[in-house]
Amino acid sequence: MLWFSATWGQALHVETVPTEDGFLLLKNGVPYQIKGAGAKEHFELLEQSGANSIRLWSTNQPDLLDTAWRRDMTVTLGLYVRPERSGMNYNDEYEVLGQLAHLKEEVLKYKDHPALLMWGIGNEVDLQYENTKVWDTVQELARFIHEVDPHHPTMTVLAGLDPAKAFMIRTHCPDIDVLGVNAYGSIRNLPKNVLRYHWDKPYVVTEWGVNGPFEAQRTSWGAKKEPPGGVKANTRKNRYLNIIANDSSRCLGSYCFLWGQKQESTATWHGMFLSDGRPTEAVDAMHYCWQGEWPAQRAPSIQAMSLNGKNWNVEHIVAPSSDLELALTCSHCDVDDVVLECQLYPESQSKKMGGDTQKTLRALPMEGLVQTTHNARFLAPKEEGAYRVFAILHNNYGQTSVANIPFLVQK
Amino acid sequence: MVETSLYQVDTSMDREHPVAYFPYKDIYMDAGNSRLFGAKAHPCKVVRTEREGSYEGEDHLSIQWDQTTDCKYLGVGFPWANFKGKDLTALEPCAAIQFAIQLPEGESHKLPVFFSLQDYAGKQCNAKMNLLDVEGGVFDGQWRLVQIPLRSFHAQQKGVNLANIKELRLEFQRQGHIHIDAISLVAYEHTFPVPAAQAIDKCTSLPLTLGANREHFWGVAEESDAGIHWGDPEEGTRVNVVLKSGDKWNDFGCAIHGWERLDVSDLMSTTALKFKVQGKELPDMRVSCVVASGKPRISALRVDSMQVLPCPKGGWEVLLPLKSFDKNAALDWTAFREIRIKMLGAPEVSIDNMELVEFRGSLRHPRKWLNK
Repeated sequence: MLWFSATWGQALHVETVPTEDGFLLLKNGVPYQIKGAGAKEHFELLEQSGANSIRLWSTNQPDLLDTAWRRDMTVTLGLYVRPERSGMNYNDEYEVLGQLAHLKEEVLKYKDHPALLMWGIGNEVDLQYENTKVWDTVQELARFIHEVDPHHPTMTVLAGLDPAKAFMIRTHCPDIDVLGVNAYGSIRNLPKNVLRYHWDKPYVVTEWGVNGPFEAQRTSWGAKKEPPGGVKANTRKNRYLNIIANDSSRCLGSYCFLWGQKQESTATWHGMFLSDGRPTEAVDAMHYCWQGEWPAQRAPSIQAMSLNGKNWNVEHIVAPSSDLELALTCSHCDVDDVVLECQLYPESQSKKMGGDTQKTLRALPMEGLVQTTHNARFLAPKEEGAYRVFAILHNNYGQTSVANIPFLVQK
Repeated sequence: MVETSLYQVDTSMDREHPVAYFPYKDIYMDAGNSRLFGAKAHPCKVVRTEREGSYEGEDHLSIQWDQTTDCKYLGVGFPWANFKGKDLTALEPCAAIQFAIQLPEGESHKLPVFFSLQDYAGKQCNAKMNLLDVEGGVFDGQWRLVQIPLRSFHAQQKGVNLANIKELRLEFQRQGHIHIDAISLVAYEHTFPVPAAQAIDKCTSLPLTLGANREHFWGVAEESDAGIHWGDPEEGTRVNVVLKSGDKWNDFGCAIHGWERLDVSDLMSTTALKFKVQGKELPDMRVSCVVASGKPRISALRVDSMQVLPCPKGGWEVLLPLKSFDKNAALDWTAFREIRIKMLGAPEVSIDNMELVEFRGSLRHPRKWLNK
């Protein structure tokens, strides 16, 4: 790796310091607000949009530290602490000590990297957990980091905040300097709850965005209703400006989720990009959040979508092979340079939770598809079952907006 | 004093050890004497036998892989002893799979290689290399002996029949290149005890005092000008509530058992929450029980006059049978964690003496039980 040979010894000195009404993060003595993203790709656009940091969930892709450093960005580097839900038994000393031995080696390996901002010890180890001994592992790693790396704060990342978790970390993990909270729908009350649950150190919103699939309304057949891209982008902007940027006293910044693409219930729920790498209007929203102004070239933005005249957020039950019509309402859609693509998928059956990896689905053929810029006609599948139709608008600059509607084919 | 490395791997074997009598110890020694599948040419994986520099025997395996979206599963398998069903039951507590491993370049403390044992019903259990059992605690250019205790496959938990094992598989993720040789079963002495099952403390007797410590509350401020704040230090965990109508910070919570789960399932039907309220007027309150698992997580009720008894010295005692709470039957009472109290309106009261008590009265008239 480049930094080993070129700049050994140039690690950042990062610390949190108390102020009159809260805390500041200092990077080499200068106040630093984290304008970050969970990102493993699209770094040029990330930099142009005004971000200054990325969050990595593990040390599996160390090249990304170099990538960030070359763009003058910092990294919150995750140490992957196995969650109980993956089968880890925190009563098993052999497994616990083996994991600690490995993660301590990782700390020693990366502690002097010049892009390193802080350590993220574990991600959502509290999700569906029973054994509170996991906090002993988190504490031991935080203690070890303080012993060998006085230059970087320690953070552990929770799947939402509740009084029990705040208590556990406060009492079991005194070496944790910063609380990381992944908050989707619950972000509304986060600044207030940090105070109410007596967390007396700073915090970072380590994942945030639109409400997660686990918080979504469902159809009667269990399909989750995903808002159109334009609605989601507005949600992102409002949450950043009204909640994250508004709590300057204790919140050291945030990492939006996800500067990339992943399958989580749908292929578009959390990702700000499509699977082929094209950006959506969520990227514009983050540009506005980080820089206070919109980018010169705006992406199209689907504000509403209907199927056979009924809005995206109601139930759609149709007959096999029946005629279906999608209609879109869109902003920043100059008719001449915006093109509509439609895709049909079977409904995801994944029962995975949190950020656990889910399988990508394969598209189905769309019979009788006829489309213009703002609507499309097609035939419902012949086979009964749960489906989801996606509308993707893209412009000549490769920017996109996506919306989808789940529907049930039933005789 | 004898210095012992943290990562020392003991390869000696007692002749009386069950492994000594096990006829199928050798899993893969060299190409001429061992079976292997998954070695065919593959766009994401190259498996070769190399003669030079082997750890033991005629040759060893060189396995290089690069996982892409087109190659989701990359693996090799060893159906050792010519596909015989192997009974590893007696070996599970005292044996390990041992092999020698070497990296052609670089060094690492973690390799994305997973080991699985598969039985003849197709069920499999997995284990990873644990750095505590990697010779020298590092993977590098030297041959390093690694042991994976059979116990760490957790066969029983995964429903794998250890009495009828078909094969050992190695699964490769991300990218890597390893040399591996001399895979066999060896004696293994566990240094750590068999892990205890996860236990949740059980409530076996009442009364149970709640909130003995201020750390066990949330939503109660130190500052006396806050709407919900602590009384004087000598008052312990007395919560003072002085709210104006419309105040949003109008609730607080108290842990049942130091924020750990408490199993009250055996006593739940004969248990009530009791606390004392002091003030000029009895406030309007919504009280909730919160559990740490299952759905729903929360069950609430609004306190009514039949659940309240005026005290002779002023104030009121409130008695809320757990069975009075909404949806109480659906709650996972093995994971009881918290009581929440939401103050409605604009009360000026203090609340303390929270406890779980025995209750065998009428759910519709709990105050009669208090009168007793």
